[in-house]
Amino acid sequence: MAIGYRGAMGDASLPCSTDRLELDALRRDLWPRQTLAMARGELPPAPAEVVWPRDAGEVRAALDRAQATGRAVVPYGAGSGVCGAASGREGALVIDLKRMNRVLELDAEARTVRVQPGLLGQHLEDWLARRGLMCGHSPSSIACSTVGGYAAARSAGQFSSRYGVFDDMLLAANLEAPSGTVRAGAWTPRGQEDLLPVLCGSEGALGVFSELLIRVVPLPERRWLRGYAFPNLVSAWTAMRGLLQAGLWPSVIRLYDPLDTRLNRSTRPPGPAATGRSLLSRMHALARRTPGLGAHLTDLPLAMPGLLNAVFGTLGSEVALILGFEGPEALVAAQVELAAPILEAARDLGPGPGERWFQHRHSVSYKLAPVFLGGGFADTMEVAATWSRLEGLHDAVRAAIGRHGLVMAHFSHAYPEGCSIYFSFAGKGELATYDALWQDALQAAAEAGGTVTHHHGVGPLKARAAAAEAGAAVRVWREIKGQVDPDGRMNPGRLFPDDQPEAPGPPPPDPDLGPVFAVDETSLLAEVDPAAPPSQVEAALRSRGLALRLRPDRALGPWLVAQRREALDSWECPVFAVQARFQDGASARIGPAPRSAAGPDLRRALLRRARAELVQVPVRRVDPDRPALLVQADPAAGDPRELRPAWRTPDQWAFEPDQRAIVEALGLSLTPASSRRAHGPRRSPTAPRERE
Amino acid sequence: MSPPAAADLGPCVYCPRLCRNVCPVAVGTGRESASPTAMATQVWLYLEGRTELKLALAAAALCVECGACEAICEVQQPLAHLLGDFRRALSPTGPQPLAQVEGEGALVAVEVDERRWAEALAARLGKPVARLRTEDHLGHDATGQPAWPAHLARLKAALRGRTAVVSEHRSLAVLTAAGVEAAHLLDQLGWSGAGVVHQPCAGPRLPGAPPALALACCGSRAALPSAHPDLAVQLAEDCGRRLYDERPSPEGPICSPDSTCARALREAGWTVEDPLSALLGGAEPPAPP
Repeated sequence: MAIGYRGAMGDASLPCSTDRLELDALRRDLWPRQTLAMARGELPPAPAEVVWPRDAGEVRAALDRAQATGRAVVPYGAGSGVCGAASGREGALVIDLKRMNRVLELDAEARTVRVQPGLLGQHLEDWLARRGLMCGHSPSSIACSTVGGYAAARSAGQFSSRYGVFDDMLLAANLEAPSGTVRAGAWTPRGQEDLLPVLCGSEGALGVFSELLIRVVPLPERRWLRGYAFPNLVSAWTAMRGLLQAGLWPSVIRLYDPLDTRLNRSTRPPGPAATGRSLLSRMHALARRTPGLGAHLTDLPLAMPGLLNAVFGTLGSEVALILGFEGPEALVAAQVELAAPILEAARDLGPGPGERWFQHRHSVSYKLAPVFLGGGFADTMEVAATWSRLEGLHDAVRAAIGRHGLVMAHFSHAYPEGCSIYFSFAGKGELATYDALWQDALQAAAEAGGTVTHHHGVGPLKARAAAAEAGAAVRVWREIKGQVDPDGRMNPGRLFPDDQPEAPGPPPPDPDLGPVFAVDETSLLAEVDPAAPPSQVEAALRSRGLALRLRPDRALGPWLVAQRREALDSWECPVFAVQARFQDGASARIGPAPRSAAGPDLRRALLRRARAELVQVPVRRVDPDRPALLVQADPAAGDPRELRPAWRTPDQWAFEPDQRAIVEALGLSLTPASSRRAHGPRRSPTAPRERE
Repeated sequence: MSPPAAADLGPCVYCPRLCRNVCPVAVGTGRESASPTAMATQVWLYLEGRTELKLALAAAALCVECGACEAICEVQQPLAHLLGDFRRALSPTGPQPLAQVEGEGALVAVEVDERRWAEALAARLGKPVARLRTEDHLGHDATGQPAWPAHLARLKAALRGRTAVVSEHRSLAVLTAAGVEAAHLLDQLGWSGAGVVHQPCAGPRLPGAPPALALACCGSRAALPSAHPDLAVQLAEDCGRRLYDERPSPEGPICSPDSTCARALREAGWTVEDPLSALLGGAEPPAPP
């Protein structure tokens, strides 16, 4: 069979094929709807041809070919997306990037690595580990997903609370688009708009990543993991919020709902059947040995999800939290010490649960196949909200999914301002059941004030929900897409559908309330006037015992537009929601916290293109008796990315009063004034604060 | 021999491709068709009556049966075995007839290509060495075929009372299965690669060799070279690049204990040392690392 030939398509150097063996393999990514359809006898459409470029020049040649033949283009990495963004498209040209799998350059001093997009995540981590480094991005799909895919879908890994989501690690990228090469992030040509936030999460609809510059960190000197049991979800959420708002940055902070806690036996001592693997293996082996049993093992329970969810709901409310810190030994010890009072309400389960989770952290995907083999379907949905909306979002989406399938949840990406919820569910039925479940769940998420996706991307699965969430801000997307892909050739219609009416935007904020329109003290977020001088904003916040987390040197609107992407690290996320009005009067509000990942991040692009009315920014609590601990900025004492001050200027780092143990552990010298004032009594970071 | 059932492949078809990072063919060729999941799916579709046999056989022939996917799989799926069984059941090729053992001596050099080295080994050891020529690695790819037990019995009878000396690992596997006393050429020569070591998918390790790099399949195994020759070369190119990038010193060569692997890597343009080449080149064995 002739496969792997070159030159048959008119280009002497570009490897390509129209062989059915090759095209069949590109019919599907990992969207469970397609897996379910395949099990029912339907195959997704096959593309018309595939090319395997080896460098940016060959990607350009492939785009030229698509232009010449009039084909749509679907970039394809390892096909691990679960929302269908890379799934088969009839008549399309697929650009399979897996031959672009080289590490191009490591700059150990600058802690960056330059790579091609088709490199598998696990291979990047293996390569870095041999050099004492790591990226820190660890999605459960790490073995079967590419670095380019992480950028295309705005991926998040299991250690996101410490190392950030992938767009926090991505410093620069080159994107080959039909109109030419887009250089973004740190590689943005001087004077041009940095489009990296929009490229990141564009899911192949703008172009093809050809090179990426990624931040790397040293392998941790110490990894500390421990399990805690809480009486219920609310008490655990309170502790999670307390840890993160106290200025700690766990590597792992992972909470399981009562059902997930029970299935994982996370709060019990380990035994022979304690791991998911052994239980799964035994069930699998039993099903394989017994004809017909495989189907019934899943058939019966999934046929009555409402009853099953109700039964599980009576089993108790205890939940398990896995907490981890990693990094330099002294820093880990300091954080463990600071975390102790916040975890007082919990039952200490020791290191076992955390170590078991770490050992099996990439194994969860093995649990999917048996459900499909049994005639059902399994899928996941990740949403997010501020802490103040989290419980409502959880209850609403859980109820919506629970009408159609067995559902459980865990909470694995937490931030000072909020948290994501990761629902896992399984159902019995046909595609109509699957579609109805998703429609109900997405609607529930939107109505509860959550974002409809946190880190799995959009794809055709969530395209309409994501477009509704973006509202009129989709105009910004269309303007940029029109510039870089004028013929609409790149993965058309899969991110924001062209035929969807624009969702109405919010009214302008009441100017009489300004410059601080609203404060969410639970989530430590303030909605402020982007045109007001920072001094006015600070004064208004201070009257509520709050202060801006960052230090703008001008009004927040222009300051946010001027920020260089690479100048801020993940914990310094400078803006959450943005509300702006276009010239025709239409308004858009995007970016429901935290860390909205519904497709590309349009917030800064919106600020550039429409009149900003409101920005939601992070704030911190202030206490006149316990001011921030100020130290001279001293890169020799430690990398600020490791140290995470509460805020920083080029000359000065400021730590929260409760971070004193961290300052001492690092041997940082307090400024004299700070040293005199910083010896107030220590208390739990969750305790009420006195107003300044 | 009967092919596997469609249900046997189901766990791989519905798996999110969790072993693709260890599959040398998937990584070395960059083809989605060469991911273990895609291979399994194409065979599964045939067994479900939804695609053609030639596509399923082409998919199964992409597997070099190194077993890396099986080693990493947490639900113990024997995918390499399933694909191999499918290929051998649906496209049976029995072992070629055994050649006569030529010459005298307690040692028999098993020569798997056009290179004749029994005399060189005899000169090196100072004692007579016979030869057994084979073009199919003593029928390695017919493992499990109906004719397999009789083939092994003939092989055992042909080599009774002698020690077979091999330069590659596939013949060694067959000899071991037949219960024939066998030794690797590197043991006879005391050869030890001094450089980055290509560790064959299966077979002997060089004494003192560092841990083998993952994903270092040269593409010369199973049906890949005959069914997909272009991809076999591509695999060898990728394998050599990985080995070359990880050399402990800039001067260090790529070393392989397997003459077939070494040849595949050389044909892809890499400089490779192996015991057979050292023997035939008359060079002194490289010093141990």
